[in-house]
Amino acid sequence: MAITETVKPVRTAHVQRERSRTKDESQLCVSKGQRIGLAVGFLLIFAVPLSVGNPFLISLGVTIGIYAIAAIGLNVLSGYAGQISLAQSVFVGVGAFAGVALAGLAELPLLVWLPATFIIGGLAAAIVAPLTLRLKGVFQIVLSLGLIFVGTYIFVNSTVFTGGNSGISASPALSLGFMDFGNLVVGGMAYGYQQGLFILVWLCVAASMIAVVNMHRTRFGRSMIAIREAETAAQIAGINTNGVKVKAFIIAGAFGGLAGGLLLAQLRYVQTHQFGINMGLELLIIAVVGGLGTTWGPVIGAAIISAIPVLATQYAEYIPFLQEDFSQSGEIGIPVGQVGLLIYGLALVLVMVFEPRGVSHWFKIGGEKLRSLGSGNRAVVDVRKPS
Amino acid sequence: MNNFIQLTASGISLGILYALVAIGFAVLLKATGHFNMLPGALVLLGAYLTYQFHVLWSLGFILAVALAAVVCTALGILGERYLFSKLSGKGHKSIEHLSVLLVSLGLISIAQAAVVSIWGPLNYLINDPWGLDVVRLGGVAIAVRDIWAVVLSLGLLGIFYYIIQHTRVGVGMRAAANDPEAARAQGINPHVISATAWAMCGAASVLAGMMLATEIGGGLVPTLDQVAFTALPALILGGLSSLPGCIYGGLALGLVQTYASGYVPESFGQGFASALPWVVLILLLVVKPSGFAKTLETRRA
Repeated sequence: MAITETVKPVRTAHVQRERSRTKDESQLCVSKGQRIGLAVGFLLIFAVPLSVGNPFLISLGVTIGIYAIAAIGLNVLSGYAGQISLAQSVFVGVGAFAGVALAGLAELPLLVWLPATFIIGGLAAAIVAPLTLRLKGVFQIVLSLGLIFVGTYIFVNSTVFTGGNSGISASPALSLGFMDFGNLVVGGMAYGYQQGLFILVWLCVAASMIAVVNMHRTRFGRSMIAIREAETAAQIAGINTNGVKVKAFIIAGAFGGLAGGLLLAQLRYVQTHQFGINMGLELLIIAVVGGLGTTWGPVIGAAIISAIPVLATQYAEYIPFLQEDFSQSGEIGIPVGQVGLLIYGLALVLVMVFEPRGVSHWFKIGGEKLRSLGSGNRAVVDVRKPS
Repeated sequence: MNNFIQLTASGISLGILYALVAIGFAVLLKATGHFNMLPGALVLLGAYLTYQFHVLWSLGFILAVALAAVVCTALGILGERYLFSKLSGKGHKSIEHLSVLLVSLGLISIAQAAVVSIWGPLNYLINDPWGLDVVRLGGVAIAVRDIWAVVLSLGLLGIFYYIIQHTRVGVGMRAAANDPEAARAQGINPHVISATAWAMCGAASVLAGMMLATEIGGGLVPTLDQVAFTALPALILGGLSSLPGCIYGGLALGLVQTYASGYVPESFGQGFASALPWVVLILLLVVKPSGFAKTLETRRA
């Protein structure tokens, strides 16, 4: 009798541990505190653009959000399903040019053209998915490189939508009927285009993150992880691995397309060469640096990778060893235009060498430390674990 | 007809340079078991170092190229010793066997930024000894530079072939590619093998970079490392790890690209010549995926 009593709590502790293991880093929020944090985040989406006056910071926030959406898509494919692709930039391009066609040329309303970029990105991915997913590892990367080159060729030559080499401008409608993000008026105050766009973009980021977290809990999400961990075992367990991989690729393409549509809304001018290998690498680096297979990874990665070069360009005069342009040659320094490349390279090398789980892992550890400081109960459970 | 011969000549000289870059990848894959993109950075650095030694420090041209090759080899060996060999098994599950590839991609962008920081973004002339000379045979004009590209590359490839087939190091390299553990048990030093591989890769990359920088109308540009991506079809077409395969793949790639730019009508659109090899590659990979996937799985590249 006494033995069973001592065993019981151990077993429940064990079960609890198992549960907490399935509740891994893909959770949007693990604790009550994080739920409050999420609510605060939602408030910030509205509060930041309406209170920050600096247009440069707002537009930087918009850029981070757009790259985060594209990286969230890539993270589904690379982080959860374990298939590496450099060709995410192609789908961003598809979304942007679909936006040009639907919002610019056909002048459709926001509720039509923005979801359409999402769907068209997914359709484009559906066309090429069967090609790339039959291959593995290096071959997959080489084939995705091929997609970039072929995609650029197609973009350059569909001049009606893309303007060829010279690019094309479009001003998509951002009106939701009761609320026009392009020309926001709150409480009698008029706000700028970028401020409205900030709200729209970060609402899309939040929706994407919630969608991905929920997807992760479904049978489909678990199938993807099974494929990543052991493809043959997943097949034996009855998972249609090809079907799941194609679906993951389509989801990645769809989020890429959405990011493309929003990019068009931000820049109101897009050019075929934006969607080449550099953006493809940048998105993969965002996903890797932020942390593959984590919920917050793409957002954190986007904040680091796309913000630092922009900030360096803006505040070049205050940073040593940084040249604003090439006019003062003779003096050795890093030209501002190269800071981006340098950061991508350094971030990728340092993260791969020192923290292969990605930067979001630091946040996770930091959060756990904070929580264990905050609550004494957790510590008691930890003490009981070894028994 | 004259046009055809001229296109063939420049196609062969372009193709043999692709072959050199592809061989850099293939040799590293054989010796270290990882797919490494660093040769792309070495192509870029090799060309700029040649410029530095020959034009700025006015050393002899051959000496400059040789010194550049030595520096690039040293960089490669250092990278292997202190970076790439420490990476195995690191990273997220889906990228752990690609960690070397990702780190080398990072190094490529660092190299590009470094080159622009040190030498600036402008085009330079490398002052090569053959300049714009042409040889006229009947009505056909062939650039001396094209002939030298082929001769030098074939010479280097001959040396590689001799090393791989007829020296102890070469035999060790092939043994290590077959079965690394058995090779090590037989007393083959993996450090010597990888150092030799980096020396071969450094020499091939510097020669390719130098030759690409002398291309007429090309010159020395900071985007020279893009050849690491454009030469990839040559590697895949050639079957990843065989030396003759890389040469065939490179020549096929160079000829297809040159013929396409020479003969394909305007209606095919802009950039068709550079997209065509990738279309061929995609079709090939799709038609024959199992064969390629098999080499990959055994190789763990």
